[in-house]
Amino acid sequence: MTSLCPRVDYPTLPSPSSSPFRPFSQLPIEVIRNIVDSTAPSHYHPDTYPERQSTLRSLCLTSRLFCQLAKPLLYAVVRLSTRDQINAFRDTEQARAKEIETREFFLDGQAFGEQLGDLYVLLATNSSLRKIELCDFETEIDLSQFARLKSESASSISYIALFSC
Amino acid sequence: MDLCSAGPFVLHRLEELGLQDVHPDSQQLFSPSAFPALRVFSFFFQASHLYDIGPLLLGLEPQLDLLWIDGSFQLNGLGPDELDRINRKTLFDCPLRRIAEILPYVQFCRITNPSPNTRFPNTLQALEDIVRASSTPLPSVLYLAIKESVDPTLEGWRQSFWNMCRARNMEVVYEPVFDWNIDCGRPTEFYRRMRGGKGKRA
Repeated sequence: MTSLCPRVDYPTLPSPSSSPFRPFSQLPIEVIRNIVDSTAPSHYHPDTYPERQSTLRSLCLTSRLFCQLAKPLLYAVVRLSTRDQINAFRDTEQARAKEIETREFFLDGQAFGEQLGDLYVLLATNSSLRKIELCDFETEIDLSQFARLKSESASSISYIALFSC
Repeated sequence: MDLCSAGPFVLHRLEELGLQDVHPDSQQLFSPSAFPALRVFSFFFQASHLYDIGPLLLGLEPQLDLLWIDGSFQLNGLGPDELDRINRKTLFDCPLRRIAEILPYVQFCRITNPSPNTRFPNTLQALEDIVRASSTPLPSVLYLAIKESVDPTLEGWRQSFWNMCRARNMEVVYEPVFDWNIDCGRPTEFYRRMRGGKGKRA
């Protein structure tokens, strides 16, 4: 009886050691890290931010290894424009047990309303903060609060921009 | 947006502070001792003609690598001595329609936000007329926030303007701004020249 399926002779796969192509998991971690780093801009920019976050979120869902590398980048640059986003970020922050630090915050005053306590708490919980941009806050911003942040944070902030859009 | 301080404070590593339409309740907020590492200060305030900006800028000036301010409003708030002290490190932004007012006084200025409908030769022609009519010293560098045209049919306009500026020892730098809502159209080339390799952006 002959088979209905024609016989196909697949080429023999070369052993992993002789193949020029290797799965990601076999690449040195630093190489993978460079690849992940190169997928997203390292700083906040309003034009690139949505795509940046979307790309990193996708990488986080790809594998444990990718998640481990992409997650710090995802949280390194954060824009919060609504109250829901603030709440979601705070919950995530507690869930991630502060293992990951935010370097750049872009915060929209409309999301905070008059509850500036939330703002200062948010800033205070991030000890790696470098850059803060605050836009359209209706309530007075107290600069001395920035100096009272967690000691590492207050001494690491190198850029502050305050503006009305 | 208003700024205040509940008490004395020090931001030890703050290198760059940008304020746009932010009103400080007191100039004491900007004491150099509060910002010992500050090197870059930008200040844009629509009602700055009501605000004595001189002491604020002079207090910070010795430690700054560069200042970037709205020339068309803030120049009026500066006395000759104050202007003299900050001039060599300050970029004054100014719209084309007001450039003639600041041209004789500043060392670096940038023409901002020309109407998208303004054609390249019209801008250059207007500028050429202003520069030609000016008998006072001109800035050493004029930054134009417009794209330098490579259209060969406009080469005559471009070359004529360039020749005249060169004859008056004024360098022209074209640096288009694609979105004025991002960092107020941060003048990258001026930053590069004034700061060199110092202080990568946070």
